[in-house]
Amino acid sequence: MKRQGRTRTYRYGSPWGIFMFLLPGLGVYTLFMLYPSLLSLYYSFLYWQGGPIRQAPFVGLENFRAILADPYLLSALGNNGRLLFLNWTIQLPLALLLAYVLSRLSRGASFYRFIFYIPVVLPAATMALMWRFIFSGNNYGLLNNILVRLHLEHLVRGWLSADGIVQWTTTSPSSWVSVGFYMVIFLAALAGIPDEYYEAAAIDGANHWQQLIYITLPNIRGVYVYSMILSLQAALGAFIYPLLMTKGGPLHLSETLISYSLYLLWEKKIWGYGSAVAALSFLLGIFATVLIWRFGRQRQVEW
Amino acid sequence: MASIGYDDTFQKETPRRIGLGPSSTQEQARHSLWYWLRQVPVHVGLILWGLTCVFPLVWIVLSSLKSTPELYRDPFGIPQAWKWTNYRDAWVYAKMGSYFLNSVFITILSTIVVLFLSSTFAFVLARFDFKAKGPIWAYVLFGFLIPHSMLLVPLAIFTRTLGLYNRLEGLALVYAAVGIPWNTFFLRAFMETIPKELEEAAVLDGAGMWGVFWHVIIPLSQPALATMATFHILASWSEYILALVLTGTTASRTLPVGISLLEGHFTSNEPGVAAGMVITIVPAVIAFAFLQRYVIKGITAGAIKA
Repeated sequence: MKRQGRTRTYRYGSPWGIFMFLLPGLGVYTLFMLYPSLLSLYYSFLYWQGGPIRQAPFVGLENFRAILADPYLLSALGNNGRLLFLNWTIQLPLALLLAYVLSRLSRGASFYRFIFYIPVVLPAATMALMWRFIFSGNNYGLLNNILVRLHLEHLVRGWLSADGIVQWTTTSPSSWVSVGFYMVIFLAALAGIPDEYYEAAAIDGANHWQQLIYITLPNIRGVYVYSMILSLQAALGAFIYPLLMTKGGPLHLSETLISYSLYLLWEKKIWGYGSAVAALSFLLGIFATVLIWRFGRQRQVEW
Repeated sequence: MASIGYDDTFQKETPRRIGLGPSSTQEQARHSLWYWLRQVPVHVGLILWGLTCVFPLVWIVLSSLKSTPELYRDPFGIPQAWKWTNYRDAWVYAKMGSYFLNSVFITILSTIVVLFLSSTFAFVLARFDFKAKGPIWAYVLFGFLIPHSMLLVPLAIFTRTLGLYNRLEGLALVYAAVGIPWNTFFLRAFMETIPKELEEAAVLDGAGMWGVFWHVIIPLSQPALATMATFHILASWSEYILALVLTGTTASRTLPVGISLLEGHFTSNEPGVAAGMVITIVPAVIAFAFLQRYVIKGITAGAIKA
């Protein structure tokens, strides 16, 4: 009541009224998101080993030069690459396949959709712990137990400690968990293709495969490119599975860019260099997004 | 193609089938035996994938009810004696109870705050023309590109300066802030589809900006607000890294952080850890079961906008 009485003085659409409505959202966004992100970029130019920031000298691009010579960073980047590989070769095609099958089911589709989406809504921290239980080398480790029961003892591994394996066991869960998310995106895209296209194709004698290749796929191309960007950003920003499954170990083998930057920031307290690693992941994300967007847009089919 | 519309996506009931495949050609074959037989391998495949989604959760629930020796001896079977005390251990001794309440509080508070901040913001951007609109819009959309991991160090310092470090209100405010770009984007798209006549009528009746916003725009935007609330609830419940960095004591930790620290408190009590995990999972699954349609609508609208 009080509020209404006060704000009635703002004439509808007056500059002052518009300003008052902009202020809360714009202010909070600026203060807690934009300003910190710019600060973080600024930190990446400092030689800052903890301590008061005023005593941290400005070193320009020195941190970024050091990144190029950091062997751990390259292996971390390799793990982001592995995740991207899994996302683009398995996660997205599988999500599309599931969406395509569900879109053609006569019954049960919404039940399957519910089940497939469950991993997406669960806290990632819990999922990471769960996968650690599964891959654990301890007695309760699920995978090794299954292998022993199937008399496949020779396949028993230290899934979270062996070089060449741990890089995949810490990336694949994060790819698995989002399949349901992309599936729902593709379901929406498939549902957006007008029925008439299929009817016209059926009249022309096109079979299911021809319809899939000449109608379905070209029509969801835009959404597929959008999903590729989302999963690329997810691959670059991934950290929680290595962080909670192995702490990036052993010997930083399973680190990703962000988990490595978290290690530098909070364990080693090298805030300048750690910020530079985070900034690198941000810049790579923007660069790749622009690249895919350009590339994907150009070849989009117009109807 | 459909838009995120007041009278479009949201007003219609969900169609009987999710997809709109070539129905007419399938319709004829539906009753033949061959049609049903062909469905079998499809369902087998779908059920197998469904099992990978659900089986680990079932395993966690079963593990949470065993004793440690039993889990080591038989990690798969049904628990012999259901050890409900694991839940008491997790809830009381491992403080999952207070983490749970913290998570509930933060989730609710930050959802209310983000809806207020984004809907006022989106209202002005959707319904008025003014000079700074374009630049402000670009400024907000830039937020989509900012990864949360970049905010950690500055926010850790900054919230201490403001006295918001290690406070539930502070974390809720940060969650609301990082939710602003996406929420504003979505709400603006929705609000733009509300017919102009409704607000004009209200203005003629003497309503000011707040009056139109509160009595016309907000009631009509309820489907979009519900969708955004659903996403924000699920995201806040699961958020890990900001909570880890911006809180430091039991009094203000959230469930995801609590669960990640459980391992240390509970050495060789894996069933207790599993019980803690169930405590984080169950509310999320229940919330999703009830709010599922909003999740689907939100993603659908997002995919079509792209």
